[in-house]
Amino acid sequence: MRNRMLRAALCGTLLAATAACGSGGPGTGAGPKSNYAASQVTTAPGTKPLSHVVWSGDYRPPYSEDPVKTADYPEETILGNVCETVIHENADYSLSPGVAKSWTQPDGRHLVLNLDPAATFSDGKPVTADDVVYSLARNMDPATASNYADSYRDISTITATGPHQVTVTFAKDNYLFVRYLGALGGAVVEKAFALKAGQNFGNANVGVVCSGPYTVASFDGTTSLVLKRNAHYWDPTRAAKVDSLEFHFYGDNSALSNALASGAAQGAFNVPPAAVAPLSRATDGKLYIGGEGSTMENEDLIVSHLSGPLGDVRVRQALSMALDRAAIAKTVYNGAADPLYSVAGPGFWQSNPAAATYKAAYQALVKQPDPAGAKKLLAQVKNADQQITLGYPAATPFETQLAQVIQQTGQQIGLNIKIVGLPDQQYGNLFTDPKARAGLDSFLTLNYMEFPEPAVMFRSYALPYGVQDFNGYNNPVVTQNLENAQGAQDPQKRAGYVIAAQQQLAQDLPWIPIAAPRALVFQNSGVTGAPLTFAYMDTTWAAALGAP
Amino acid sequence: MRRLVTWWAPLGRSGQAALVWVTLMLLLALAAPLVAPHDPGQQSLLDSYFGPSPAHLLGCDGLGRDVLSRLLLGARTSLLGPALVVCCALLVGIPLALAAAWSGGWVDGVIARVFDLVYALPGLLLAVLTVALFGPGLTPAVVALSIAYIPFLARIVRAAARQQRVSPYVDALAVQGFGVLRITVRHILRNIVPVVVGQAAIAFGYALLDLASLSYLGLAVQAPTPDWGVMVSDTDALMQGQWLPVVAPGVLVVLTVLALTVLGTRIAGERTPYLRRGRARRRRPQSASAPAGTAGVAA
Repeated sequence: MRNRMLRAALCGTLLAATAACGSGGPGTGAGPKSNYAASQVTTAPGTKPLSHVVWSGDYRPPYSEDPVKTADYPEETILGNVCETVIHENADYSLSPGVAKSWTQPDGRHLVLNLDPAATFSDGKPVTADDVVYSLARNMDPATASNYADSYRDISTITATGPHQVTVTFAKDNYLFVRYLGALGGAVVEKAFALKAGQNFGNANVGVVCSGPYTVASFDGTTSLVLKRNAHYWDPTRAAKVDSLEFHFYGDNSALSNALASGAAQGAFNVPPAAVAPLSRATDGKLYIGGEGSTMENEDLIVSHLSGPLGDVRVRQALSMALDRAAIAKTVYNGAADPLYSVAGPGFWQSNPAAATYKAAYQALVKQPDPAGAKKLLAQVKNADQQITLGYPAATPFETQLAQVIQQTGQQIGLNIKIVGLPDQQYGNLFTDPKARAGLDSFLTLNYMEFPEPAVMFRSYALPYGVQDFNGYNNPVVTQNLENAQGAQDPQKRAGYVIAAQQQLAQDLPWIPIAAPRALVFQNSGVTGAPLTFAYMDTTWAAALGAP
Repeated sequence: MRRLVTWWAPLGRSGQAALVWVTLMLLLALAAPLVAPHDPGQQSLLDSYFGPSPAHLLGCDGLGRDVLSRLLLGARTSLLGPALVVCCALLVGIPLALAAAWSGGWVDGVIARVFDLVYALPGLLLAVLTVALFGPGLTPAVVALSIAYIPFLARIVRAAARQQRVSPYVDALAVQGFGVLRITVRHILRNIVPVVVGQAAIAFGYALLDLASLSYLGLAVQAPTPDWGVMVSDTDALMQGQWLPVVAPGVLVVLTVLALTVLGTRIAGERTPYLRRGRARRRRPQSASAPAGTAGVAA
């Protein structure tokens, strides 16, 4: 028997070698082309009810059901369907009434929200102004540790100014905050339930009470979270058509790809680039491939601290100059990404009224890789060869590849980059714990903003009080321009400030932009209604799901 | 030549094939820098997943690196890790096992229970915990697996040594005034060498598989170091129909583990009296080593 096993294994080797001989030539051609028009922002809405749908909940289960605890893919994919936001963001990123049936901003310092009296929580109780005030103010309470706290920084008061009216007052002009009300930072929770639950609010065994079209039916904490249709949902235009929506968490790309191809899962956003080839061949569903700027995702190298080997701006500039972004987009992302020259790339401004202005400024940043120039620049730097550590999530294949490409790019220009693969949990800590970042000079991130506003993306990492300003970057020119942008109501005027900040950031490079992934959405032919834009984040997108 | 025949023939055809394979892998690992056609770390993004060609006999991986060169250099880390695991486990396990077998009584009882306790810990789980504490890398993985493999080897050594301990030749040696160290190391251990070698070969195969699994999970050898386990973890290549960069190292892992298992079983099993005979022939006249056939195995 043992002999037979050995022979079988040897045959396997020969078979592998024989088959390989027939597969000469390049393995990949150009990247996939977009297969739907940029103007198409969603698949056809579902028209008939469905009893059960399985959807990908992304790479891990949510840490909490509390909508403001963690701003990451799993939470933001799922929880918007449970805890709807004060204002709804549509698939085309426009805003429409949510819990607030209307809103006005009479000046830069006041935002008045007129609540819909029909809004009720899933337990039947009405959504009151007090609930909304409590929900928004939670973000300002350090005890909540809201991931959206920085967007509430300039708020003076949030008060109920009528039985169905809430007024937000800002310390300085702020025309950006209203957009946050369409993200989970503007999610409404039932105050009485939250107070009763205390620190356990959002835990899997306690849950939440919100006003969305779905409620959480069960959550095993590891592999499956099931939403059920909120039978008492108050807004008939957004009522769910799916009785039971189950989210599975696929930690492995091939498991997700197989589940989608076999029909075990009916849909997924944020499909991994490696799955483009197998899912493009799927017979029982369609992989929607977006065009350039179809998401607000951005792959960047974050500089952990500005005192280490990357502290000298010339080292950061040299590394950025040498990166072959186009080759990275083509190879590492299998073409389902575009080279990125500013952290807030086309996805952030293509739908902006000032798109032409942004585009012209962005084009000026586009550069071909210049390793020779990078070497010349590094020659001026003392100790440029000291070791630079770069962390990346080891469980994500394309990030692993990207880390290796950056390492080799560094090697070509004389930088000594050591790459460190981190388990998911340890990698996740980099974004919350300065101690976790202490041993790294840089780390990779697939970052995003929930809505297309370049000023907000830049503010998150380039302001000294930005939630993602991990390295303590503080440039008065950038700060002043981004503060001016927040107070500018006119999109063109705001674009001017943002572009001025962008130009400085392109010099300072506290983050080094690398690539912008395209939208990759898979939907089984038995279900329809999924948005094709990045607007699935934080919204009630699953309410549109149903049978074709 | 006669000794070679004596040594070679009892292996049987499968054992001989296994030995040839393992030797070949070891030689390739040693000579890898000389025989590898390309720098295994040299990327060429334009050659991403370039298929087999005269320049790249096994094609290129996703970053355009030569798969054959990575396989050859990968043999080094893939074989070095398990070798370290087995050596460390033997270095700790054999003295403990011999001490337990010689002393008997409560000393034997305590050591045996410690072995049982460690044996109950899954090696991979221990390695994952160690990596969580000290970070990913080959060193923490090797340390953890070495601990886990101590009882795997030592329990067998202890059982074999206990059989030797009650043999008349041991009493005879003691009566002649030989010390404990000399009796255990020069006589008992010498007589159970086939068991140790056989079990070590099997453990080597298992450790190779465990380390490859840990590397697959991103917990042991780290990219871009070429390693069979790391190469197998490139499942994205499989999804794109580019299976050679993944299957080739996988086949090498399977064949090497299989060869080591066959070899270990042949050496330690009932059909391998050759080592005992070989040892008996080299026995010095004044030594009272055990006669052939006394190095039986009891797990």
